[in-house]
Amino acid sequence: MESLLAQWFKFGSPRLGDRKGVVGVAGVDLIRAVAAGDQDALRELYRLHSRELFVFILRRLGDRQLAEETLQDVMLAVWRGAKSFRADASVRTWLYSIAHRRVSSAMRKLPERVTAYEPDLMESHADGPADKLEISDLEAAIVAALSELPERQRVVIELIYLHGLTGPEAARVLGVPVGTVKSRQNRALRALRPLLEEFDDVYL
Amino acid sequence: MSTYNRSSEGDHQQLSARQEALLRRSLRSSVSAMPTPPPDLPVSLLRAARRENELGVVGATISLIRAQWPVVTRERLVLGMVAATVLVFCAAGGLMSGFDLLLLAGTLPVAAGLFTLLLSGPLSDPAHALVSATRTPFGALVFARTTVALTILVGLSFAGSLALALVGETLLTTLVAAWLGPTVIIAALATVLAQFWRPAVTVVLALAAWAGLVLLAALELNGVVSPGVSLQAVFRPGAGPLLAQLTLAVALTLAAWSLATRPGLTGARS
Repeated sequence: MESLLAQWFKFGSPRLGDRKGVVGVAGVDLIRAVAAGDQDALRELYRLHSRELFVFILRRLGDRQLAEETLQDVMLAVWRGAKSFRADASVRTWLYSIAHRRVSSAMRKLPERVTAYEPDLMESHADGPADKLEISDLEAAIVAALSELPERQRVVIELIYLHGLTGPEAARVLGVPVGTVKSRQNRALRALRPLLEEFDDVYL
Repeated sequence: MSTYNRSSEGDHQQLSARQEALLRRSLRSSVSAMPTPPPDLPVSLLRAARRENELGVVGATISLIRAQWPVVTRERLVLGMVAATVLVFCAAGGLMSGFDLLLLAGTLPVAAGLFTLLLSGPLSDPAHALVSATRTPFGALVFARTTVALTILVGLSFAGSLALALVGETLLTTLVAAWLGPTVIIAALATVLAQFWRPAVTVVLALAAWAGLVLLAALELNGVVSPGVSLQAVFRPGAGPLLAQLTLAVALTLAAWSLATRPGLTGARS
């Protein structure tokens, strides 16, 4: 697992769910530069956020090529809409909002409902020690249980626990009331709770 | 504790710190094995962005409409539109005064709505393939295509009205007033709604409303019903109502344009 975490930290973009880093003034300044027509700022924005947005998109679309195209759509929308960005939301929330709308649009093109993109966890963990493998087993079980959830609930869980957004931020991204996010989160956690409790003693 | 969590006390499914850590870690582990996006933005996208910047929104819209012109006119659908419009005017020429206006007002807006639908979805396959492949927001494409279709339809209808006015007794202004407002309004309304819902839904909604109005007007003309306010005014508008119709049409068109060029809004794909 350590190697995986180390690998995770190697990404050029901030770690998913990291509330610090580029979020804040630097992000707003970048958006302003994009609004002024600075393509380098757009590329910098892409470098900083492409990883987390790509994960968000790919997990929902389940198709790598479509996810890459959708990510490009998002960046083009950012380019077009940077002037309309209001600093009452964080840059990340704004980016996720655009990504959510693009994903929703792209999903309608898919021939059938997709499930969350799930890489082969066992394969990726296979070279670790035996106890690490045990942990990866339960993590895989949790992720599998998550993928069984309705898409609406799964997105809320991922936005909050993977991407590190707050409930109100997730509501803003999804364009639904905070109460709706809360109830979806509740329902999802209720479904996941038995599994989390079962493995609670094993973990750590 | 945040307001979000505080307000949810009682009904909120609280996780212990360990459970939450486990959930976060599970999700991150699953993500770490995922592929990464391309390291940089494609040159084509940057080029397109630069071009848009140079053109501005209005320039980009005009450019898009011009680009959609050959796409729309290549469609067999346009031949159908021409044939249908000619037929409608031929039929209107053989009808009594009043009914001719009703026919024009009843069919031409429907044609505008149908073209909006057919140019926006899989029924028109080549165009839909293009829509699916393009990076241009769907709403913008619907707007551009409807503009092209409407330009053709209005041009044809104006020519038809001119011909009817020359051979018949009804004035050109009366004929044009009967169909112009409703046609543009229906097309613009369908385009506005298409920014939010599937074109099939929006067009059906817009046309259903219009069909209801036309049906009532036809029943009124036949003396079957007598609504409190005469619907004939809708189809035989004076200067005031016509101005109001055109103002509404312009407002809807501006709304459609604004929505179509709004960032991040892609509209629904059919």
